[in-house]
Amino acid sequence: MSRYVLVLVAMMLGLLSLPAQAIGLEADGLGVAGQLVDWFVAPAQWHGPTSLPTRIVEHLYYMTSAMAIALLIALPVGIGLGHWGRGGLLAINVANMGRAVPSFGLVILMFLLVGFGFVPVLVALVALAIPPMVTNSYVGMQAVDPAVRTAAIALGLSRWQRLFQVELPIAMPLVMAGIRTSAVQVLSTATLAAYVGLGGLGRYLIDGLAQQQLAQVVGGALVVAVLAVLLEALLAGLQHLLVSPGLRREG
Amino acid sequence: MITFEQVTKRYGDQTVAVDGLDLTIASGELTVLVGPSGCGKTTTLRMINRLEPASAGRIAIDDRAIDSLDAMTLRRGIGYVMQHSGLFPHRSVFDNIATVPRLLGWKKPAVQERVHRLIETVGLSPSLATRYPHQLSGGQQQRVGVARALAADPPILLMDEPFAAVDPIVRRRLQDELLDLQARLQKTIVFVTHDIDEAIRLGDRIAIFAVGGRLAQFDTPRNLLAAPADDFVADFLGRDRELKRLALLDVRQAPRMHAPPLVDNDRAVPEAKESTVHDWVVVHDNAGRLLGWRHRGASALQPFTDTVSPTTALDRVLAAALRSPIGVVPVVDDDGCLDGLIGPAELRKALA
Repeated sequence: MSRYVLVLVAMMLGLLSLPAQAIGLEADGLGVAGQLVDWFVAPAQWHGPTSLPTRIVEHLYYMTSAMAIALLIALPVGIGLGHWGRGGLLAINVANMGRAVPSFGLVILMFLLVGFGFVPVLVALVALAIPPMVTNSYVGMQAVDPAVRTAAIALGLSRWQRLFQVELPIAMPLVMAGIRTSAVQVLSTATLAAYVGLGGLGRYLIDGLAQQQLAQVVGGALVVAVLAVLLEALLAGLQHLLVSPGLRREG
Repeated sequence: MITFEQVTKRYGDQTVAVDGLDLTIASGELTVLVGPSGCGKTTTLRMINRLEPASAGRIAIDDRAIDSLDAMTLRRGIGYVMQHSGLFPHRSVFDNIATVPRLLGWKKPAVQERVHRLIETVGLSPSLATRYPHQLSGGQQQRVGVARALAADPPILLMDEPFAAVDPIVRRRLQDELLDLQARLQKTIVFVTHDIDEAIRLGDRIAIFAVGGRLAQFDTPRNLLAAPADDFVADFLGRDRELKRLALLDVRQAPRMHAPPLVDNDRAVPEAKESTVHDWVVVHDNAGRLLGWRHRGASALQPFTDTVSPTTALDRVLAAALRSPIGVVPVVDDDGCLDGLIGPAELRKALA
């Protein structure tokens, strides 16, 4: 957690100390910091269809839809394979191949196939989100001590009781680690939506680059970074609630 | 009563783990299954609660075939304790013990009362109820494992090398506690171990398995040690099996040496009558209390460093006799009176 904050602060300080000329953008006397402040306080930034709050809502909508679909696919697959202990290597390898596909390429490909709209973005984000969750939940389930599994059988728990009362709670730290990784990746990659004409915080990056407005680019990136840190904090809190204190060891 | 009739367990590659086993485990007894690794003792245990299905034959509990019950119902009625406690790491001690009562749908107050009583029964501090398994020592984890197995008061308790992973001192204490618990609860306990000393210490009856899943002998520890059925059993019991037999007997079961080496200090005994075989005499006063020993004809009394009581185990008597300067040890009863002497010759007769 504190790591992310440190990196973020360092990034901000680095950017803000740049004179605009250094990056070859228009110089109007203000440094990047000043332009950035102007960008943030402009009235258009807070009202209307292109305002910051709207962009954030759009962005979060892309992320949560993609995560919801990915969760529905990845968790049953990873948890199920881990529980039955079969086909896990295959699934992990397929998932890892999925990781090697560049999201940008996938968005463009899907765009060429289905045209404008949410679908290309959604497919790319879901594909990005699935591998960490499959791998982590599979590994988490596999790591459940065989003695504990045997004990659960011997005490007379049914298969579902074993899955939900014993194995899943024990695998929960890794399941959550997978969800956290995916969520943060999806949040930052959702900027790609702007490439195919959608909204979200990616608009600032693309429009800013097109219009050579560094402040807009940096501002958009900063908002994404801040959201990522908040999301990470939120999920860490959720994990704390979901994971039994018995599984929290020192460190 | 658990009965095995011609039970065979074969694994896929035709390895035979248990071969045509006939065995009747009596209710209320602690039966130990013992043998070298690969002898099928654990498989035999795990067939009782159907953790392993038998390949052939019939297993019945009180004449009711275990296959006639649903596996989960069967298991909830049989306690199970394993080597590495198998406690659920994400559940507190309380919740671990409460597992089976909750599965059976007990009401909350009943669960609470039962769990708290069990925590005491197995000798744990009540303050441990809210702890998690990783915060407990190995011995404490095993106690929680036993409490969890006993939670729904099952008539049968299966124990798979439960004390193998704890250090010898804790193991000894856990063994004592188990014997103590069994004296009070009178469960039908089936206990697997590879340690023959543990088997002899705990078992009312011991089944010795040979490699290949063959039952080599099934009897009480005393009978096994006195009359091993074959070389395998004799070898498994060890070359010191006479010492183990001694450990199972106490002074009351041994003959004792009385006069003439025993003399009353207040009566003068003619030197010629003192002893014909020994060059020492043991002296007591006219109330029968032990005074010491002296060389024949000498007058200086020497004290004994060791005495034994009627309930002392004979292996300790042997040790005391070996330490004694005259090769025998005096038996002193609860009233402090001398009750004869025991030496190697008497110990031999006790084993005869």
